[in-house]
Amino acid sequence: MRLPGERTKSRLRDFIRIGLMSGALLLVITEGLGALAPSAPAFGGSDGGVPTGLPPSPTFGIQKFTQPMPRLDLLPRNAVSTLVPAPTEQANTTQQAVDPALGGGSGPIEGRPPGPIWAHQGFARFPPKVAVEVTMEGAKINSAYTPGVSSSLNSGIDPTTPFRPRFHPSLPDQGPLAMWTFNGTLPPKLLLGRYAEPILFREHNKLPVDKTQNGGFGIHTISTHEHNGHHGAENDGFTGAFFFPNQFYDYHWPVVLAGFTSINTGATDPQAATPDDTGGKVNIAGDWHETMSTHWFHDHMFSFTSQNVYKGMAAMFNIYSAKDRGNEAINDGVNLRLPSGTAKSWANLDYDVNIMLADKAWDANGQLAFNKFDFDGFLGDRMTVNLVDNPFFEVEARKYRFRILNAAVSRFFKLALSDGSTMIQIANDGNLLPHPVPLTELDEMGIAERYDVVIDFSRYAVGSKVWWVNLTQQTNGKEPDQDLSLQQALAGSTVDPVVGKFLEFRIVRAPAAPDVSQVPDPMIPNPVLPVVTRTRTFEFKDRATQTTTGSTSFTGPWGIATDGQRDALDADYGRISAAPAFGTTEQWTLQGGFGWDHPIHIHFEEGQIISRSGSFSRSGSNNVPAWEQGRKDVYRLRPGGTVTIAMQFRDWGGMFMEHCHNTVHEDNAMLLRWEIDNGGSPFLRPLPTPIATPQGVTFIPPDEILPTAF
Amino acid sequence: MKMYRGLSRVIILSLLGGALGSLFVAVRPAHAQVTTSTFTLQVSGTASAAVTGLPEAVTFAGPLVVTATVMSDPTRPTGVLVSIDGRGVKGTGSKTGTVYLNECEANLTRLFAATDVIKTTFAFFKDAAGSYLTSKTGLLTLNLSYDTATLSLVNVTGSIGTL
Repeated sequence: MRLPGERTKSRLRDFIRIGLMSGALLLVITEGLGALAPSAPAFGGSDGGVPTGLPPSPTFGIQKFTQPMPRLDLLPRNAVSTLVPAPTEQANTTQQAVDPALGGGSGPIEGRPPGPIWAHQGFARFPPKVAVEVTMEGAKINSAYTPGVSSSLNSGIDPTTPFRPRFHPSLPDQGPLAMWTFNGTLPPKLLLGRYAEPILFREHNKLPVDKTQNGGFGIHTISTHEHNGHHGAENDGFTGAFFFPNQFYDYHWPVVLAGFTSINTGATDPQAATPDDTGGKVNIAGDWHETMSTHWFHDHMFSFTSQNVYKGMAAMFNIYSAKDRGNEAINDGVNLRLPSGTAKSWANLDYDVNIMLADKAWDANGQLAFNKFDFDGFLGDRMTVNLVDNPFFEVEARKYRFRILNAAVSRFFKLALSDGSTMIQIANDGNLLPHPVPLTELDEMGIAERYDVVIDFSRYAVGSKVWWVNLTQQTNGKEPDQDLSLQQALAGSTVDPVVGKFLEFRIVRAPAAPDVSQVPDPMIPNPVLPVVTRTRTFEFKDRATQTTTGSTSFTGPWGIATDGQRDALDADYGRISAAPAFGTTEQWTLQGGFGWDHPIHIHFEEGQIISRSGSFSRSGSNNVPAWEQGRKDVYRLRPGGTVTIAMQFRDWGGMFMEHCHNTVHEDNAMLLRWEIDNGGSPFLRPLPTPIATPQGVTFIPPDEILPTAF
Repeated sequence: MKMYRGLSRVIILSLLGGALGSLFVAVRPAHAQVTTSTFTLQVSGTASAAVTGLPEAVTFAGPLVVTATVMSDPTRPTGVLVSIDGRGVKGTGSKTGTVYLNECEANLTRLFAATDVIKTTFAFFKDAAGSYLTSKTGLLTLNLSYDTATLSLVNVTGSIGTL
């Protein structure tokens, strides 16, 4: 958790934080609300800008749509034998010298907590077949950009030209302290995986050993969360299972269908299958109704997620299955033939494009900048797509699939095409919907949500252009201000510079080959939910108390009240707030408050929204709109809203998290730990909390167990 | 020593500020309030063939449900979530009588005002298998009126057309 001797510093940071909050409150008392946002008396500052809390990002004279949008950079998939040392079921505790800046002495080479509790579950049943080895390090030039498509399908970008770490060719390179990314390079990374092909993801921490060498924000300890991966807790990126510079962490991602221990265990259902390398498929165990497609992974460091993810610690992960093959031509009665390509048996990216949206800000030197002291949230004043500023993207006149990720810190997006024409939403949070949903304006997209859409560019003439437009104005980290009409957004009738056109599609040619892709109906029906055995409630509030003082706890303005607690509690990853029994299904009600909006993420397995109340009215139904009628892992509460979900707890064990994915809220301290209770076998009950240091991970009993947890 | 003096100052200021802050929170005079109201109206209008590219104009008519959830918070400008369900509205082709369905569902965040004009688009398509692939775009215009005392909808009128 903290370095030896750092406790005072940690407490000092808490005091400073408390002091800042108190000071802010004093300012409110004496000077009114405007004092909280000196550059934003209502919406927008005196200069009309978004209150980043920083000076407006200088433009350096750049114009929109003057650079191509790069495809994400594929991570190499290697043989497991390339990993040295070889991966081990339990953490590798081989000792190495620890840098004096980290306390000296010696410590383990792997930062994963040692021993059987944090051993890879299912390591023998699902031995890794693919090794992906990455570093986390400061920005540098990319001399090995691998977009996975030809230059003609990547807006003419020559991958042999070194790719510089900058938001625009006219902006300076990001320095190695300003931006920290996977492998230290741009574009952001994309991992391709498929079911039944377990991945060993080895991440080396190559960040500075001196924690003050961070460019003003971010921390050098990291924990990578495979967002909505259905894995054991040791591979989930638990917020307290972080590791230090010069260590690595082996994440074992088995990539299995949920329910593999109880449904279709004999792998006889032909719908539950994974693509092979010759155009065929191989049956696998589990429930194919749980098939997942578009994931991402990002840092989850306790109380630093917002800063680290903003700094660049985010990547995407496409998971392929027999249903979602990434080949639009194979017609076997299972493959949905979504837009992708035909050259490879699976994972064609020709017409399947990852989109990472994030608002950013930079300082006078063009270096990434972040305001750490606004606990409502952080908004940038520049829009980036795949981490370049307002680019263009060349397309053929045919159908494309776009996997859109909201990778912002606190900003919501609402997307439309500039001509108001239709996009077909096919997936929500990486889960293909039961039915495709044609929409002219997507719903407001919360942080960490993923919307997969299909756009048919065959309706446009070659040589024409159309733009993606953001309709949501937001000038406060708490929640959106308002959604503009398409005409208003195009006219620039807003104080928010991130509203309006942000990506220019250039229809450059007829399809190189006939478009044989489909958008079928149905796609993936929802799984049948077992009987609910228990209900719980979680209220997400803006005033919280802290009942613990250990190094695993944190104090902030945000908190969560569990099962009717009067007071919300600040985060403490040593506290167990819920412990569903292994193999059961529970119904959880998530309650929001007024004046803010929280996109709530629950780790481990996607759930289904059973009902919404107070936020959507549909006569005679459960108030759930069509695009939320599949499975999800991020649940927008909306101001004053309530969402009730059903979720299953099966296959794996360990400790997981539930938190607001407005990561500023998460960091300050709207996060709780829950764990799967298997009754004490084979794990302890309750699980001990890992305490990470460079010299090794120790364990302590939970700080607190809420009375309704077990 | 200098560091400890600084630390003490921070702690004292924090505690003082925290105490005053707690006092402020404790006596926070006004409370956030949510008011939900629903209004059902009949809408109608025509999507012209010249704009949609269809071989015929499509005339729409039917019920549309508007739900306004007004969030009144003394610390923020009052906001309203306007939820629209117009999937009961049917379109009819002017020449062929073809039936058109729509996906007119929307949640829109708006600033609260006594009156509000909302223009939002929606997809419509033939009532036939796979027709969503060739959806066209309609424009829904709504005029909302609120009672500013009760924060409830008192009237909504609307029409359908094209961009």
